[in-house]
Amino acid sequence: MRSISAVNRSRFTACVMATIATSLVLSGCGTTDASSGANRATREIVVGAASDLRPAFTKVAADFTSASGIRVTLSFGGSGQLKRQIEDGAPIDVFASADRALVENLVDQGLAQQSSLYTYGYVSLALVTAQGIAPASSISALSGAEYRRIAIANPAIAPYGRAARQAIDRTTAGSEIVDKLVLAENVADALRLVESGDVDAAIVATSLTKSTLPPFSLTTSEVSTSLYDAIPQAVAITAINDQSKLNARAFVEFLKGPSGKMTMQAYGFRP
Amino acid sequence: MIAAVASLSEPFWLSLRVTAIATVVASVLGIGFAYVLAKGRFRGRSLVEAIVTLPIVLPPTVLGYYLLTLLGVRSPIGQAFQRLTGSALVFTPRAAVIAATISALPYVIRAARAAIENVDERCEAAMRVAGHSEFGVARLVTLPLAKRGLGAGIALGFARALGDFGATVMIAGNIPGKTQTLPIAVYDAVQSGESAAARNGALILLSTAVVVLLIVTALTSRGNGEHA
Amino acid sequence: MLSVDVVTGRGSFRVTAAFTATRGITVIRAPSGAGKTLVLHTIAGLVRPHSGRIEIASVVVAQAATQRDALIHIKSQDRKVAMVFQDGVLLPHRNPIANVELGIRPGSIRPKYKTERTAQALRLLDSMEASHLANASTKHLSGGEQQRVSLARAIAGNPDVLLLDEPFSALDHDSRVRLRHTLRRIVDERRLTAVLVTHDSEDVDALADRVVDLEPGRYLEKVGRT
Repeated sequence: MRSISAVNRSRFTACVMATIATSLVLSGCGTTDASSGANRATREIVVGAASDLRPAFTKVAADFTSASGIRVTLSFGGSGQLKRQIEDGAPIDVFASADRALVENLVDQGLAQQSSLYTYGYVSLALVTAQGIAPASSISALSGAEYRRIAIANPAIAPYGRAARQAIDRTTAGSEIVDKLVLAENVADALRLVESGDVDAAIVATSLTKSTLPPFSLTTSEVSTSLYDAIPQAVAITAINDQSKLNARAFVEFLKGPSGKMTMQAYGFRP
Repeated sequence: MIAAVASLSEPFWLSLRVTAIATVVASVLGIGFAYVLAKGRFRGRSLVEAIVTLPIVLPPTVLGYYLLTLLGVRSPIGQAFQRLTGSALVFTPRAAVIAATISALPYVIRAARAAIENVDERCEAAMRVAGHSEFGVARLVTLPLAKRGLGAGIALGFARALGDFGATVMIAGNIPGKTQTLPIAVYDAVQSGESAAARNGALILLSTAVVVLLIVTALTSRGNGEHA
Repeated sequence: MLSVDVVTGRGSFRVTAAFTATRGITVIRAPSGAGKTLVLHTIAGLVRPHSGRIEIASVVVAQAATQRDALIHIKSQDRKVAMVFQDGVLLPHRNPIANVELGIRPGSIRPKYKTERTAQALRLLDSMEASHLANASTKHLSGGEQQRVSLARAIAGNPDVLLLDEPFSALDHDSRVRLRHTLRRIVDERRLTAVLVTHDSEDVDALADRVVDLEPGRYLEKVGRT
């Protein structure tokens, strides 16, 4: 019986096309104001920022908005991940990377403005110990038996992971520590692991430990800068349309200016 | 306003809007596909079936990767869309709708197809012989008799669309207010240590999932024997 | 008039059927599994024959392609046949009168207004002695009641050929006897061409104007009641 119940295939195809068209129109209707670059409110920018910048940029953006009236949407992620999104056309107007090399690569591709490139700081590591564990004062102390698992960001994709690994390798008991490493997706993730007590210690970005967001009560100590190479961190404009470029320029200038500089220094970034 | 994850209301409403559109689209397409797969006899049917089932078995990130490759700014489709509308297809709420739709589609198709195949073919034959077109038979017999299964499929599709993380974050990104859906907001809240927001977002998603599963169970357990 | 001369089947199963049915009731007598349902489905256009042809009211509705003949397949929808199954096969989500209304063939002679169609359906139910069932719950009808509604639905399409697939086999003895009378009356009143397949010799004795015996591979035609 089924063999002859021929379904009108052309009618089906027509239905499919109509549905797809309708859906695109529908999803457009509800969202054009927010989605399309051309229609975006002219006093608004999207800043894609490395996850170590969350506390610092939350403050900078708030100050910038009250000074300029330009709204800032912050999208946090791994630097490599954000770079890839920009390459894939994400509507990010300013890219703040934890590693200047990624921004330079975008400049080479013509996706970021050479003239706007600004080094806002250098990778700075802090050692964080979980609650209830004897605080570690230096990386070499991590070889001790009380530190069973130690989190760092994945060195393959995160600049902070790269620096942390370098610091461990330059420590005398480095190979013992390497065996205890847990690789987190990014530096914020490494901090989350130590906060929850899933690991006993973590090597993270100094800026994250300066967070004013409660409750940050973990014991921290600076990691000697002699243990890792200085990795410069930079920001650049990646906006496409002219109005967004102007707004993005204003944000970068604000970051370079006294208020921005002061905030960044408070969070441990030094140009 | 700084659109950090301080408030869940923005991701919540965005998620609801994205999920609603995705559910409607996935339902219409899914029931259409299910009907053709259940009734049609054509070459390549099993291939079509395999392709539409893929999103169930593929890791969402792989799905997202291929969607990005297919629809990104460097792809022919992405470029054509940009020429036509002046804006990119990826990293917009539209992309979130696409990711949610593709994720939901196979769940709708599988449930709908089983329900359609379960309909007594003689009921359909009686109407066909009585002169009703294939479209009429579908409208009068097949779809009404399969409605519980269709409902279950739509409910599952809704839950899947609401819950998608991997594919959405790949092709829509994590832009608060634009593409940051509730699951992504939960992830973001966990990352930034905003445990209250993470807890509330997770609770919303959990309770929605439980409600949907209760609906599906109710629909499928009493559905059998209706057309005995 | 219906004229059948086909080899049909599904998969590797083949049934040969060759008979002519004129006004009145032609009974096809066959044991279970002989493929009689398949023959009815071929006449209704739900299955295509492997060879041969079928004519309804002097129109070729199905013809298998040969070197001499072109392929003809008129869709089920356009054949003007009606089917009654072993059990009612009514739409459970529609009440009986709606089921009968859906039997009215879409097209030029269908009443334009729903009220007219409802009235027509009610008259048909009445002629089946089933008007009291019009708004009952279809799911809760007895077997005999279902078959009365099903018969009304079949007649509603004003078919050239009425196909009945063991319509009484699921019924108790009393309903079976009563429904046979109803069928006889309807066929005579409306001067229908009906083909009834059965393995019940009582059906043959009570109803057959002609009997066709199915034997494996072919149908033989012989004269029954005159």
